[in-house]
Amino acid sequence: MKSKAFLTLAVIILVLIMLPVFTACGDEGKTTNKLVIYNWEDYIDPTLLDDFSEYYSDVTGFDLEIVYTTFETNETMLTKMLQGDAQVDLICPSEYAIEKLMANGLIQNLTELQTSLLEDYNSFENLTFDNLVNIEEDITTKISEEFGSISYGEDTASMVDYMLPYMWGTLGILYNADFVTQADLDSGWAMLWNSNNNVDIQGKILVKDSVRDTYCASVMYMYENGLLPDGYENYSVQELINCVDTAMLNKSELVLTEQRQFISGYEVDFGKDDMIAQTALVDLAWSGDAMWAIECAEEEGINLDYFVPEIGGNIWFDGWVVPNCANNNLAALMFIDYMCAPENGIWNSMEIGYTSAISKELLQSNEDAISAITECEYDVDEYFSDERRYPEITDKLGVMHDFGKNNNAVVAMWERAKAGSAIPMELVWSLIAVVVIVGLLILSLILKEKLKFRPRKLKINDCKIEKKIKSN
Amino acid sequence: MSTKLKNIKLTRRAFSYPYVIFLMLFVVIPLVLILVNAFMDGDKTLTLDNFRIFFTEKSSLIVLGNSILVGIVTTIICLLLGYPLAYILSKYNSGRILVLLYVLPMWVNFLIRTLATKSIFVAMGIELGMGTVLFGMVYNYLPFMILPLHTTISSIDKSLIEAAQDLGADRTQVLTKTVMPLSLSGIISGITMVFIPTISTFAISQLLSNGTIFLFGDSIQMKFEQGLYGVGSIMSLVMLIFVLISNFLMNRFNRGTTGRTLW
Repeated sequence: MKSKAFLTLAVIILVLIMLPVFTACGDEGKTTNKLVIYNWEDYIDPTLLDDFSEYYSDVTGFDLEIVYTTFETNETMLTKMLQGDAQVDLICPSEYAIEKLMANGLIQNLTELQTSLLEDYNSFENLTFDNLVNIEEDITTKISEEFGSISYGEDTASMVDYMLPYMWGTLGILYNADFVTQADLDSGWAMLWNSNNNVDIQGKILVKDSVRDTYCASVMYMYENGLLPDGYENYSVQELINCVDTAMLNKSELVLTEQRQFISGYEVDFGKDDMIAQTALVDLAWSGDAMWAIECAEEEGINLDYFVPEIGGNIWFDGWVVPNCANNNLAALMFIDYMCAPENGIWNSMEIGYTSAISKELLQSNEDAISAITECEYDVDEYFSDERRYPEITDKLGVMHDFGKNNNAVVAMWERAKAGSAIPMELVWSLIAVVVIVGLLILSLILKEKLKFRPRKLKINDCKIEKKIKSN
Repeated sequence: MSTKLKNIKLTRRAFSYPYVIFLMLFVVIPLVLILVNAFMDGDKTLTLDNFRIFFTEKSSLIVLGNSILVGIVTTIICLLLGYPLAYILSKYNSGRILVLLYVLPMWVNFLIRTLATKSIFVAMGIELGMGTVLFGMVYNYLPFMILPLHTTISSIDKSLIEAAQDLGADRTQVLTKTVMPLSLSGIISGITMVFIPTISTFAISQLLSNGTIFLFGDSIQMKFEQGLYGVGSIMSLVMLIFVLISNFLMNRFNRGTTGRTLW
């Protein structure tokens, strides 16, 4: 009886434990109005989340529970989405990741979604998606220029219909203006290789621990200094930073390996802090992070600045997409629309430092947006004319695509560069040492075993002899 | 039905079932997944390509060599520092309390300790690199060396040492001829407990060298981050082989000696 009771108890406990797990997988979102957002870390003004909940209940009459989850790299997000592990309503990846999501048929057409939602929910009088058109036209043009139509399955569609730009910016160099000289600045990307032999910045340069960004910097450096392999001289910036031919990869590996002697290391997320603490003086950074760091440093009296070298570089766009598996399409699109309102766009920019994708003219003419900027102690004209924040979108700035099939080759190249390939002898010695040690240990084992057995046999013999003696 | 149920009794063994279930869920199944992934390419078809990629790629071999090197050096330093200490501590009755002092830092999360170490190095103006990584490794794994050594050395029968002294062995002879051979199992388990974690660490090397020292653990982490599950799984298997070899060695040495193992 006891055992039966124990078994039932165990089963009940197990069921109780598993119950929430099973129910969580169901389509709960539809009835309880839940919105699951999957975004970059530190990439939103958190107060806007509560504001949106209020706005949502005003329009629909339902309460909304926002679950805000984050990812650190596009790759983490992509892996999760491609494996079908994530149950989210809204994602905010970079353009190349959107391209990949779209090519795999994982995201919804937002234009169509808007029409169908307006039809389905025509009972909500205040439901509008008017803010969705607020996006800067230059940005959508650039995206459709570079990505155009993407085919997935049997269909092809324009990528701009599937995403709504959220933030954008450039990849450039954040530097400490007190130590970096004009000659360094003139050298452009070569500053990351300390080509002027500036003693101050030697060994105090940080590079991003991210294949794509560092590869881009190395390619631009080669372009700038005429180090490109033969045959690539006439490529445009756009073509160059997306070129992952073997010749380019080999050259890039050389350049990146050479760079090791000039830099302090590869940073993941501490670059901004190191710059403010002045333990690093030059950092490969994204514009938004750079602006954030510049402002923080200013308060401490440290003079940081950011620039994209003359020769050109990388421009990127992050945008909202709604995956097919979304449970709450309405809340998702309403959220996108809410974030596209000029004042909300500005609040986000103020919080995180990145440039909102909302049209500049619209922001400049919106009173709420202007007052938000002044409230944060910015000069409005200066804010909008700042080249670091609002660079001119020209052909000098290229958009990076997914490396596609060559991704493995790029990762392997990056790994070689990071491992530092100049230690073959040490490698050989250490491996030999291991083999020798393991071999010796095993040998000693076998010897020990053999030695162990001998005395035992002798003992038995001894005993027999003893017995014989006794019996005699 | 009832007879079957009667067979399951609330014995002592029954209390181990939760752990067995836990083990199946979080150890055995992931290992099977690693094994499956090792033979799959990106499109989920069976392939042996991952092995070819791993064993022909220069970078992965360099990284493996790097890790083994760091592992060996760390283990040797730990042994050289740990053995005399464990030996001295075992001579005092208060040794146990002193050992506790060496274990104490382990109660602080190792990431916090490593970050703190990094801050100290930066503040002192010491350049981050191989030296700092080795320091961090030794600092983190020294307790793993001292503990098994201390247990084995202090469990050595004192009369054996006295016998050696009676038979005319001097101090060094006592150490080399009695104490060291008798503490061999401790040395082996100490080496294993330091060496294996060292070659698979990734945070310590990354933090204390600003990412310039790239070890096997870092490489595995990068493979999975980039979605290269196949190669990442192969590397995990290589790690597993190291663990198995050392486990095998440890068992062989412990068998028939003191019978004192971790479990």
